[in-house]
Amino acid sequence: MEIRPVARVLTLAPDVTELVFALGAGSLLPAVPRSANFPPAAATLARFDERDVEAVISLRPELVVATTAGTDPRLVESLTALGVPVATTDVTSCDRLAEASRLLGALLHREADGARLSASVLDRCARATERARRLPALRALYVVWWDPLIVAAPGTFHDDLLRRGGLQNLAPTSAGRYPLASRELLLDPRLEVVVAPDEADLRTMLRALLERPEGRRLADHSVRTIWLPADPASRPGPRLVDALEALVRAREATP
Amino acid sequence: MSMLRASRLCGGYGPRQVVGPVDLDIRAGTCVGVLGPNGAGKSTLLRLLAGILPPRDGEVLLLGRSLLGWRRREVARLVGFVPQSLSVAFPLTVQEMVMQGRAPHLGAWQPAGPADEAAVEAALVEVGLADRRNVGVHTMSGGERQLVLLARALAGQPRLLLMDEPATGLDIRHQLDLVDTVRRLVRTGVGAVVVLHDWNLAARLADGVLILQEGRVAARGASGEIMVPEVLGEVFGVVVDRLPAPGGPVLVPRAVPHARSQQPTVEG
Amino acid sequence: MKRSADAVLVLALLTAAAASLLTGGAALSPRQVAGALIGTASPEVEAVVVSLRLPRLALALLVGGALALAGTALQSLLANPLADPFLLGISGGGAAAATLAVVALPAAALGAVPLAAVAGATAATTLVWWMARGPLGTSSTRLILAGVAVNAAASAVILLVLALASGQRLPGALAVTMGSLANASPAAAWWLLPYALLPALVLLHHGRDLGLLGTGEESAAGLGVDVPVVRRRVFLAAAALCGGAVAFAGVIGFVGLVTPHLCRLVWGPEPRRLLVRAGIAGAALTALGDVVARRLVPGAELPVGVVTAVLGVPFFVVLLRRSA
Repeated sequence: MEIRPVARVLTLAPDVTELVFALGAGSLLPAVPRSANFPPAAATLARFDERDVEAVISLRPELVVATTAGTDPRLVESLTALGVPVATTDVTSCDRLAEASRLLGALLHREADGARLSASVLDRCARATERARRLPALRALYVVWWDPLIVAAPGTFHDDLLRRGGLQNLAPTSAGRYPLASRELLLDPRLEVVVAPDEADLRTMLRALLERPEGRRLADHSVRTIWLPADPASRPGPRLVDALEALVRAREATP
Repeated sequence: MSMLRASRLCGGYGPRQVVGPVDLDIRAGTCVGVLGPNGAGKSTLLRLLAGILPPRDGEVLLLGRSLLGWRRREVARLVGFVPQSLSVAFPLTVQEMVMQGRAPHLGAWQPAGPADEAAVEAALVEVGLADRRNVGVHTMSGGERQLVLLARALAGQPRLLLMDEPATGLDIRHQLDLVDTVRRLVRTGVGAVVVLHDWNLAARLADGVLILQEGRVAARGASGEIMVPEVLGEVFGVVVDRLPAPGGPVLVPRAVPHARSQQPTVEG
Repeated sequence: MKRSADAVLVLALLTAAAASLLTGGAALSPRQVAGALIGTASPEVEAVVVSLRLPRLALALLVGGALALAGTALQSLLANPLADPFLLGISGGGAAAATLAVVALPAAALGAVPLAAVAGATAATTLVWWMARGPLGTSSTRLILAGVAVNAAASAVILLVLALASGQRLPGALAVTMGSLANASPAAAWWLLPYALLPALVLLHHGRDLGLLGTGEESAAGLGVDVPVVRRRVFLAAAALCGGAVAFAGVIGFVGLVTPHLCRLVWGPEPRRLLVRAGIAGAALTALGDVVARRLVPGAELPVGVVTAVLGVPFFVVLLRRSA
């Protein structure tokens, strides 16, 4: 990866957009991707279609930041073939979030901000993990979608959230990162907690699920449902730490 | 008694009228042969008579009642239709195929019974396929399939037989057997309409003859009146010789160049 | 020989049913499952077996039976051993509507997806029938051609929907296109039952007619078959069976195509003998496919349509080689 001063940067996803802003480098962005909705400062910027190679090229970026959490690899290939430098973050845990902060900071010539952000991430995550350690270890699932039941498997940042939150992930392994799981898992007597992002669709689907036989343990609260703030929990950006802290707070709140 | 009567019958496919108007009366116990050049509309006429093709004009009366008022199953109980050829999408045995001929007599949920087995047996014996009942029809030659088609029609114990070129592919022996079978049935009161190419076969088989040309009746009458060189020569545009033979006179065509406008000559 | 073949068939069905009840994310012993069926198990076990596994088995059997019946009838009707609900665009139409519904409907309305599938299958059937009308009426060849065209259009719609689907809705949409019994519920099974039984009865009623049609339409007409009426009824019944199957299980391929062939090898082509047996065989095969789909990766599920396709291909190769 070449390190040289850059003045025009484009991000291709909400998580890396937030990361750039968290590094104080929002001024380097001539525009933000359509799907970016945070921070508020981003709303003042122009929008571009992050899936369109031509839209990206026409904004003449000196560096493009992609993510493994949602950027089409072929788009990255096209950009690279056209001579555009592309950096891709692969954040699958809090540790890797810290590392990505540092590396991106270096790329953007904001080494100090990068180091600061990285340290902050590590520090907050360590504290949250420590608090969680004092709580009983429970078995859980991170639910991405209820019907069909899609859960987060080990190796994802969702799995990292669960583990740091003191929860043991019951999702099937060796079936991909977000496997379609058997609904019988919801009736598994070992399951104690379900964690999900707080989105209207998911709330609606859960309400319907509670009335069906497989939702029985959720309905009678043998399984506890913890709703996390939707955007922070759904993207591996700097607010992932917020999601972790929310998880631990939720767990501490109930005796 | 008139079994099947066609009045001013016209029929065709799409915008094209292929045959008609034709008047025809088939009585019980008689056999009518239908002859004519290729494309004259013989097969179409047969389909109209069987009710398989709806007429464009005119009508067909079966036992005095318009064919359009009959249900297909009722017609099939009385009329045995032997098509020109057989398409076999799936491998059936001879026995299974001939048993299909009992379908008009069986209800949708009714399995075949002893009476049906007996009718199939009789039909197989009649055409000489009794010892080949378990052979797959798809493995048989064209001529053998014709026999299967015939047996299938016979298994239905029809009162009227409509046959489209039943002698196609049959060897000499089986052709004669065919004549015997049909004549025997006719003697029991069955009516028959048989489309044929072979004049001599027609002469032996039919009581009355209808010759179609370009969809219209070119000649009709008793077999003895029609199966003569003058008439045949005129219709088919060839010179015909009539030769005596112990089994009955034999008609032999002789090609004549630019035959149409010439007067046919009779020799011998 | 025929008697023992029937016995093997019933045995296969019972084995598939038993295996299906013993398969699932919760690790239950045979004793627990048996207990749940007779009411002596704990409420949790009973909930899993009676509320999840049993409806899933019922759905697999109904869907598999429906598809096999439809395939058998269509192959006889069109006198074409390659006829299959897929080929005639019926499954495609249902799947296109279902994927669109999964992706576009608000979460509260997702219960309407089966309705959308039925509407799509009906629309596809109507379209195929209308396109196949010629000056001489609807012939089998025209039906096949129209079906291929509608299927191609439906596939294009599905691909478009998948391309534009948001990340969250994509797995549900894929579940439809690849066939999945994960949405089985008692309600689904009860809904599908009349939807499968009535058309099945229509097909059985015309079993003899279908056999006659296999020797050609003219030949069948001569034997008393009202060809246009039978053709319409059989086609609509097959379409209803497929529409129902797609509505609740998505696109499960090969069952409608391969099951009739397999059964024909044993029982011969006569539809009256074949239809019921093909239905049972299709039910058993689908239930078995669902077992494999759930067991291949512990705790997770593969789409059952993928499993039937993967199992169906070698069957097909064997069939082709034998017939050659």
